[in-house]
This record gives sequence, structure tokens and C-alpha cells, in this order.
Amino acid sequence: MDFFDAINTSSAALSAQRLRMNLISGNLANVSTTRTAAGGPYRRKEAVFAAQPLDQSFKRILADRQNKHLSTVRVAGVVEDRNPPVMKYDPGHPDADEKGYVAMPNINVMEEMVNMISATRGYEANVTALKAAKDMALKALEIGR
Amino acid sequence: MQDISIKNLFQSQAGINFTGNQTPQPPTASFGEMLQQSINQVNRLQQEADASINDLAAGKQTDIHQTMIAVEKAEVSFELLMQIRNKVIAAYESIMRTQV
Repeated sequence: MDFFDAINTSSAALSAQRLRMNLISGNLANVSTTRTAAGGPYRRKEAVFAAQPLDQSFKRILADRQNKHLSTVRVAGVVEDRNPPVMKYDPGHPDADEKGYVAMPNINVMEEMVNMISATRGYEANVTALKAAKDMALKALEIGR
Repeated sequence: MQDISIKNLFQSQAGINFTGNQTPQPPTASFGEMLQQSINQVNRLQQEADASINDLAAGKQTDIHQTMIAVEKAEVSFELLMQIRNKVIAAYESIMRTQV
């Protein structure tokens, strides 16, 4: 393992947190969307992350047994919220059914804000880890000075 | 955890035997070749950083952090190269100062 492994791990985590942030933006943007390509109201989307061994090449695993303990993160997929849409009484709405109810997305803005804080802090934490790994490498180079 | 890889590196490149075996293997690569390889790797990282900046500017790549990481990797490896250069030049200068 070298210093770049820590940096690559943080890099994957940054990409993952960025995707999460994008999905939260999409959820907040579509908080009152009643029409989608699939039909019906917008459904809240969420990312699922999975741990993954850092480098799966046989040569590296053989050369460096420490590597098998390292794992980075990968996006396993994006799932849609299965909760039923919220029925809101609004007879004037063009998408209202015959009883006057409109199916609105089941998105809690407060929940999305909390997730957004979590994604931002997660991103920051990974940037800090990346900086620490880089500083360690630069400190090691100061030995020779 | 570093000693495993360093050992392997030297064993494969310079033929140095750490296991205490009685028959030393002939060296497979000289110091110059090893240095050349390191310089090539630093150069490759610099080129990757350049390409990443170009991709970001052209809009091909949208991840800012990946560009920054490529630049940081190039910086750290270049710093290592500079330290090696400093050491080599210091060694050369101390040899040149030898009294004859």
C-alpha cells in the first residue's frame, strides 16, 4: 500500500457523497412534481453505498497482503422511496382525480435538509482525510531535509 | 507495512536478496534504470494532471475533486523527485570536495 491508496479511497468517497448531494438536490427540486415519465408523482431517490476492496488485481493482492484490509466505497445503486404518495385535496389542480385529490411526492423537506447536512459533512470529512494523507506524504519527504 | 513492498521492489529490481540465501542473484536493473522508471512515473502523473485539467476546462469531466486529486498526486510525486535530486546533487558535491 502507498499513500495514493488513501487518496484514491477518499476520492471514491467524495464521488459517492457528491452523488448523494445531487440526489438530494433532485428530491428538493421535485418536492411538488406531480408528473413524471413513469407516470404519477415524483418518487424520492436515495443512494445505496457498498464497500469494495480497493484494488482487486491479483498481482497487487499477492505483493501486498495489507491491501486486503483496505476497502473503498462504491455506489451500489439508486433506489426509489417505496412510501405511497401523499394525497392532497386540491380540486383545481389539473392532475386531481375525480374526488379532487392530487398525488404529491412523499418528500419531507426537513429530512432532506438533514441529509444534505450529512452529505456536506461527509464530503468535508473526506477532504480532511485526503489532506491528512497528503500532509503525511509531504512530512515523510521532510525527513531528508 | 511499507517494508514488504520496499523489499519486493528492491528484490525485483536490483536483485538484492534479503532472505539470507547464500547465492546472490545477478542484478536485473541498474540504479540509472530505476531512476529512469521513477522519473517516467512522475512524468505520467504530471501528464494525467494536465489531461484532467483540460477535461475539466472542456467540460468532459465534471468532478472537480478528481482534477484536484490528480494535481495533488502530481505535486507529491514531483516533490519526492526533487528530494531525490537534492540528495544526488549533495552526494555529487561532497565527492567533488574530496581533497586530492
